[in-house]
Amino acid sequence: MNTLKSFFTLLVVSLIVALVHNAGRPYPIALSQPLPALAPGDVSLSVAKTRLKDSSTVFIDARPQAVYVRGHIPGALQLTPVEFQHVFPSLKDRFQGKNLIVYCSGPRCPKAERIQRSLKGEGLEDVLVLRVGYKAWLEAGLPVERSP
Amino acid sequence: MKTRVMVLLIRLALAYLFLRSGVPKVAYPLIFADAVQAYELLPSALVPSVIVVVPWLEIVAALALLVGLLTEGAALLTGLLSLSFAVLVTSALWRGLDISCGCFTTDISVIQWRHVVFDLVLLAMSFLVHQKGPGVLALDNLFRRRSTPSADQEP
Repeated sequence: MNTLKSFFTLLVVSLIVALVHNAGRPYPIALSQPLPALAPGDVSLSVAKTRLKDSSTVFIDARPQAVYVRGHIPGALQLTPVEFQHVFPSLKDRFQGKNLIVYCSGPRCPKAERIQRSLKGEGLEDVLVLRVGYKAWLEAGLPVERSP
Repeated sequence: MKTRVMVLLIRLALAYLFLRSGVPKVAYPLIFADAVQAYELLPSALVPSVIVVVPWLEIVAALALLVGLLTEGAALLTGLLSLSFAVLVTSALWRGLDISCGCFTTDISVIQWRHVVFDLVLLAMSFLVHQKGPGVLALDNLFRRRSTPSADQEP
């Protein structure tokens, strides 16, 4: 009985602290809004990390140039949906036969998916989206590169 | 006395491990969300609640174990969490998923059977603390002594 009482006390305390802490975050996690699921076309952070040194994988950064130069995944090529039609022809050869991983700033940014659709439309099959994005990459303490 | 010191050491080890597991999950919720989703078990509607609440269950239980307050409940909580983690990892290994453990969030090594063994060791440690009580240097001992003064006065 004593065990159950202290167990439920700790449960209630945890719940209250969790909700208060979440409400105080700069960007609270919306409890009623499902996070985007890891769909078949997605790649998890852990798998993306293992592909970093894989020469057959190319990372594509879908964020604008201004944020790309401040920091991106090492070796990532920058390609935004707006510039796609102009820039893609010059990058096409580098994408052929490669595993492509597209990312944006975070899960709510739709640009990576748009790039994925455009690349598939160009006949490239192996295109995955790192949905958690660059922010999670940074948070995980994974290596980044700055453009000069 | 020897047993009570041993229980204290196990209690502190559990507290350290659960703090080390919970704090990065609070600091990096998106990475934790990524790890939870990779298990492909929870409906996506439940993931936000899990990533908000579970790390605090770990931290509150760890802090309770650290100071030896509500120790039995905290040991039950860490035991249930360890059992859940063991079941989750076993299920993922069974399905052949090549995913990160998510155990310590920033450690994104791929799941292996050693993770299940580790969770079962945590479960055994929690069970021991639950059965043997808080050991020495615990607030529970202080409160129990205060709430039963007559017991101390007995010959």
